Amino acid sequence: MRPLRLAAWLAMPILVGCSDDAPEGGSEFTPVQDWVTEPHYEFGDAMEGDAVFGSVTDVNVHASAEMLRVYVLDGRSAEVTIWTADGTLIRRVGRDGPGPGEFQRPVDLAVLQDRFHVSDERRFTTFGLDGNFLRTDMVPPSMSWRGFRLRHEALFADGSVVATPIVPTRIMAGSMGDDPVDVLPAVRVFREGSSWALDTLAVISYRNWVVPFRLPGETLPANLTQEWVVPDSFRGDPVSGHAIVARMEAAPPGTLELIEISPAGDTVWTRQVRLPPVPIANDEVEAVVHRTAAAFASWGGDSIPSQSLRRRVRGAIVVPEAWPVTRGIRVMSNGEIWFRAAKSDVPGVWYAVPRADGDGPIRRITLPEWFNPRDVTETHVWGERRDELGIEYVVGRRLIAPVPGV
Amino acid sequence: MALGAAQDAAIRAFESGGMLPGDGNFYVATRGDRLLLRSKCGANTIVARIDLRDVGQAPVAVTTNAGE
Repeated sequence: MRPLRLAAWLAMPILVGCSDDAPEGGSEFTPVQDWVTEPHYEFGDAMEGDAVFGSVTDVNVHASAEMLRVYVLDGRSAEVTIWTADGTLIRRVGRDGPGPGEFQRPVDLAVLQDRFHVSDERRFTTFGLDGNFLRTDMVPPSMSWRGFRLRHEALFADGSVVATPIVPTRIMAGSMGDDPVDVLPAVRVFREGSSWALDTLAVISYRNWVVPFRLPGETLPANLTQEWVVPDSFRGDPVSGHAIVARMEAAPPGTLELIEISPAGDTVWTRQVRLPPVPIANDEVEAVVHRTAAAFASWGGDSIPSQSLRRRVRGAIVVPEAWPVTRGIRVMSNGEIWFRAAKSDVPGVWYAVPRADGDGPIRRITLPEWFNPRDVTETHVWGERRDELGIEYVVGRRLIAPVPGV
Repeated sequence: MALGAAQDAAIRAFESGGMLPGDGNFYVATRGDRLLLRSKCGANTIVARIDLRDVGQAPVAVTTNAGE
């Protein structure tokens, strides 16, 4: 295995774009088009009322001029089911196991132009769109960053894998007495001859996300996760073969910076989405202080936190000017980047940003709060919902454009 | 691999700038101007340390079993 020099650990170059070119002040908010949806497709409840799905882990669609297919990854049954839009089951693919075409704790599904693949804890398994097994790509088990195991995020067409280190929270926070881990690399793992090598693709900030908080009588500090500090969001996009980073920490309030990075580490697209900042209200701060202090107090067997503990928690919580824009992004197969508003007057507000040049409008889509969007076509947004009995359904909702002049 | 041999191998990798295995028992932390090689077991004991200014220099000074 090719050694990774210590110097490389320390001098991780920041390959992502810089935020210095942010517009200053003003009201140059990103133009928004308001879209709504209506119910159209839904399946997942068998004739006798038995659930078809054990636990929907991912939903992807493949749309062509001739047909649309819905691919559903079920983490509990460790299988992919392929459906027509109106819920006719076409094929079941995979089962629990270590063999070719089988999955062990599958976590992600990616449908590409001519194939789809499923990632589980140790590999990517690729199938044709019809469900025929094509190949297995094992993830190198012993690759690491500073001794921390890597979580594979996406498989690219060249066989390289995008991964991020798995670092325990107490180490991230610096609770062991060491410096906190403020940034982690997103790395590309690729074959170099007969061995594997690593490249840093992007640097992901976790600054101030989790901080140590010392409780009376405890040897090691507890971890306090900040409510309004959101780490950078990182997604590998197997469709484009690029990675997407979403950053908020260094940007002005209400701003989300999106950066698309090629496997070579080049920034190929970037955009700043500027939305009206949503201020954090005093009662919201008090609620978080109370909830956090109560959680810490319960560790010591107290049901009500003391005033002293509440004051210390209040002093440790970072309260920025405004709510973060979002808590994470999703990359859809139509190329759009979707994110849910972290705070809005109406629940279920999502934004969709096209990966196109220019400052054109983005979509604001109001979805039912119970609906979890997973993928998007030109006409529908697909995802899942769970009913009051816990039965899961795959749902396709029709997207309705705004009426001009209204 | 016995723990002692694994620790020796980890220290050698740390000292030379090599990669620590991800499924091993050791990780690298930072404290001020030093890199620490810590055990993932028990109390996360420091098993080696190196000054940042010595990174990339060979040979480097390594202290083992130094505790906290």
